[in-house]
Amino acid sequence: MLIAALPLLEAGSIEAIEWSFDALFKHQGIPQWFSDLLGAFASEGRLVGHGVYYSMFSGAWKKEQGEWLENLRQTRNSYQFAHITEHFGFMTGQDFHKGAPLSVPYNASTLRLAKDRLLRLSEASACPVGLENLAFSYSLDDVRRHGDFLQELVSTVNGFIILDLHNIFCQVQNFQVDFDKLLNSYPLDLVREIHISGGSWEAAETSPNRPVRRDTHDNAVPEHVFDYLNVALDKLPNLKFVFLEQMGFTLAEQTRKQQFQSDFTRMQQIVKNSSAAALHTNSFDLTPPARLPDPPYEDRLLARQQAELSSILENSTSLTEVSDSLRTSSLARSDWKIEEWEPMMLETAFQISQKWKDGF
Amino acid sequence: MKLSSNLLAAIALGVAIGSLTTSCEQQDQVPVVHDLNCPDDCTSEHDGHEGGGEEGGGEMEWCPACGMG
Repeated sequence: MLIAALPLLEAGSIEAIEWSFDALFKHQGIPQWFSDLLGAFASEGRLVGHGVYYSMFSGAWKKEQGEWLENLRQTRNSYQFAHITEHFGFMTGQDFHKGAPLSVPYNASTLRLAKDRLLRLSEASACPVGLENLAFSYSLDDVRRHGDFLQELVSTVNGFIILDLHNIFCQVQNFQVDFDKLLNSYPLDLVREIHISGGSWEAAETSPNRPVRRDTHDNAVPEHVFDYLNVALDKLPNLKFVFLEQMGFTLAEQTRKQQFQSDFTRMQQIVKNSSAAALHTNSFDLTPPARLPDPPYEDRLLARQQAELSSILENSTSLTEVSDSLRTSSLARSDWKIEEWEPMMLETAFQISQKWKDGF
Repeated sequence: MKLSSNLLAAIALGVAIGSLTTSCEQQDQVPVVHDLNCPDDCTSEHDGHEGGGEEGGGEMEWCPACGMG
C-alpha cells in the first residue's frame, strides 16, 4: 500500500490517512519511520483511526474487548486521532482476532448492547467516534432498517457515520434497491467520513444468474461508486474526510499501483470540484460519563446464538448442511428471522466465514 | 499535505527495506488464508504474495482493514 501511495505522498496529494491501529495490537513495535508518518498527519488533525476487531455486537463481554480498549488508550496517547471508527456487527470466530464480520438482529437488546460498547469506545478514544455502514445484510428488510438503527445507536455518544459507498454499491447490487432511496435512508447529517473502494463479484450456486457483490477491497473503484460519490457529496453537511481503501497485497503489480493512484486522483478531483459547502454544524464531540456502566451489559441468548451461528458457518461442509442446521437451531423463529434470509446471502456468509475462520 | 523531505526519504527507505527483507519464511510465522500462498519449498523473494509479501512495510501489510465482507 505504501509503495503504491508513495508518489502521492511525495506530491503532497494525500491530505489525511486512516490507520487500522488494531491490526498491529498483536505485534511488537512499529518502525520509527512509520511512527513518524503517523505523527506528521496526527499533528495536523489528519490522522483517523479505524478499528476492525472490537466486535461491538458480541453478546458476551469478552476480556479481549477490555484489552482492546486498553490498547486503544495507549495508542491514542501516542497519536492524536481526529476521530476513531469501528465496524457494525460481530466477529464470528471464537478467537477474538479470527472470524468474519456479520450482522445481528435489530432489536432493543442489540441496541442496548451496542450502546454500552460504543460508550466504552468513546471513553477510551477521548475523541469523536463513529460506525461504518454494512456491506453485508441477510435480507432486504435489514438493508432498509440499517440507517435508522445506526442513527439511534450513534446518537448515544453524539457519534457519526462512515458512509462506505462501495458497501452501498454491494447492497444496491445484491438486493436490487434504488441507490437514491437507499442513500436517503441513512442519517446523512451524521456522515463525517466517506469510504470508496473496489470489490469483486462472487458466483453463487443459489443465484446462478446474478453474482454476489463482495466488499473485498481488491480491485479498482467501480464507475458506479464514483457516480455515487458525486451525488453524495452534495448531501453531507458534516463531511470531513474521504478515503480510498485497497488491500496492500493487491497492489504488487505496477499496473495495479497505477490504477490505485489514478483512482485516488479521480476521487480527489471529484471532491475538489464539488460545490457542496462543508457546514460542520456538528463537531461530534462528547463528554463521556464519569463512570461507565459496570458490569458491561450482556445478552446471553444473543451470545449463544452467535456461537451457534458461527459454529454452523465455520464447520459445515456444504450450504445444504448450513441450511439444515440453522432450521433446527436456536436462531429459527427468532429475531434473527433466518426464514427471511436471502439464500445467496446465506451462501455468502458461509463463504466469508470459511475464508476468515483461521484469521488473517 | 506536504511532508518533509527527510520523512519522505525515511518512508522510501523503510518500504524498500521491508520489500527486501520480507520473505516466504517470514510469512510462515503468521497464518494467512488467501489462495496464493507460497509453496512450502519457496525460498525466493518475489512479487505477488498475498498477505504482505512484496509490498514492504512488513507487518503493516497484513492489516485487513475492512474488505472482509
